[in-house]
Amino acid sequence: MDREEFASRVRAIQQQLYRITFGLLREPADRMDAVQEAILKAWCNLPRLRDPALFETWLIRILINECRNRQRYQRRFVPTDAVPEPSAVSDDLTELRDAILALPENLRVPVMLHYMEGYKTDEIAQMLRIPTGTVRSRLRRARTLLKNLLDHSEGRPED
Amino acid sequence: LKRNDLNRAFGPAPEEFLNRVEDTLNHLEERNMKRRYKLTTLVAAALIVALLLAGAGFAASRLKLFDYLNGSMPIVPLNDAESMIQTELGFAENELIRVAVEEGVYDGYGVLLKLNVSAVDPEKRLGSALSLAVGLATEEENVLWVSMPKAVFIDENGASARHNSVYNEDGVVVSDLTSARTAQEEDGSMSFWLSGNEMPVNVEELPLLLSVMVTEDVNAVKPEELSMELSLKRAGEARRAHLVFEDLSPFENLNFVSAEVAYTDVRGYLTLDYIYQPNYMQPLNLMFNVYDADGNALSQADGWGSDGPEGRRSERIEIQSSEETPGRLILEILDGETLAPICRVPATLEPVG
Repeated sequence: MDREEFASRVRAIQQQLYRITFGLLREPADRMDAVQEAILKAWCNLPRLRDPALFETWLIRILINECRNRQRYQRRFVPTDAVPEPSAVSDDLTELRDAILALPENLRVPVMLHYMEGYKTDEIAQMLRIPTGTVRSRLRRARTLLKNLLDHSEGRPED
Repeated sequence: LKRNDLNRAFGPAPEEFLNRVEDTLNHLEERNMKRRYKLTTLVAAALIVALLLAGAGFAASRLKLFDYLNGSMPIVPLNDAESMIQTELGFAENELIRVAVEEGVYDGYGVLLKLNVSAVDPEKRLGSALSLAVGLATEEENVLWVSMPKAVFIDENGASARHNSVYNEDGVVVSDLTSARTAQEEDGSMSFWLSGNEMPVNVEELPLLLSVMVTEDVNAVKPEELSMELSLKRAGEARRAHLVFEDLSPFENLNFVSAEVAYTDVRGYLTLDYIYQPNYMQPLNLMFNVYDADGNALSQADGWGSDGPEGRRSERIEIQSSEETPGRLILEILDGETLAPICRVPATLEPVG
């Protein structure tokens, strides 16, 4: 894969990359740093990628690891009450977004990769290095929790 | 869950984000140069660390296996623990380094290992001319690299100090030279202390895989790997007891399934099995502290956990051991993120066997 193809394939998934960083890092500056670092790591290590068809999966794995390294380094996680960020989306969608961000990270990441980015459970298993069965059970658990969160949110009295 | 709604919920990437992606892509070669410079700086920083450690060489060289336990919440092994230590557990080398596993102990619940890594070429000091990483896993793990979430590895807090780390091809931190669990010896070699308790319990013999990665090339992302197998025989017998909580559901959505403490002469291990499904605004995850009946801390909000289905979680916490099983312990439940205490739950101990 030459530089042009590399850049083109990164550009093609840049919205995905953004959403993944959004789900894992609170600060916009951290998200940009993480994605830049992930792209550089992918570029430096491109010769080590055995199957170019897996480029997107591979880059996302690097990005998730980079986000996690940053979380650990900075000792901070996405807290449930700290996600709000100015957005042009409707209230319903904001609630949905906040509910996703309120999930524990081990559930949030599979949800984002599966339901938002359309990856199959075996692809997610590969990205997160966990068994496929674990991905499925986390998705089940996440659905239940999301339903509870959204039901609770709907039933909440208005301010 | 509709994908379009979900994607719209997060909105499009802001202009600034897209600009950063574009800028990175447009300057890949240039950034590469900067990155090399950064890595060179990194190794220079590691050299400083190595020299600082060498300055404290006398103290470092006197450290022994149980010094690993002298953390911020020290655990003092009981008198008979020294006799459980096995020595000269294995040796391996390649063209760059020699690895000797000097001491180790497996008490049926946890492992402690001390190893020494030295450079084959005496001109090369580890941590400066050579960068290295050490990892350890149980036999079942497929050890291809040192992966932070895996069972046993170098000090996690240190490993996350990314400015002194080396990454593998997946972007995972594989090495850290400023870990509190490493020390530079007077002869330039390095000692590593490894600890873990996420492994088969009470097997007679525990096979382990040790992996040491080393590189001379500061730009190498995946260092060369030297692996060796070793095994530790179980030493000593644990004194076990069930914890009987006065309240099995100390707060909403938390239910204890079982709790057991095992005291060995090295340390104590509290294993908690619980179900926790947080509601909106409840802590996302929990941590635990253990106190004796007089309120003295026996642990410090730390532990190893694994997730099961339906909110079930198993957690093992290392605590100070005890010659005799106490009649009572107090478990403190904390918010896993803020470490703010939520409540304390007293428990009586019923010896097993």
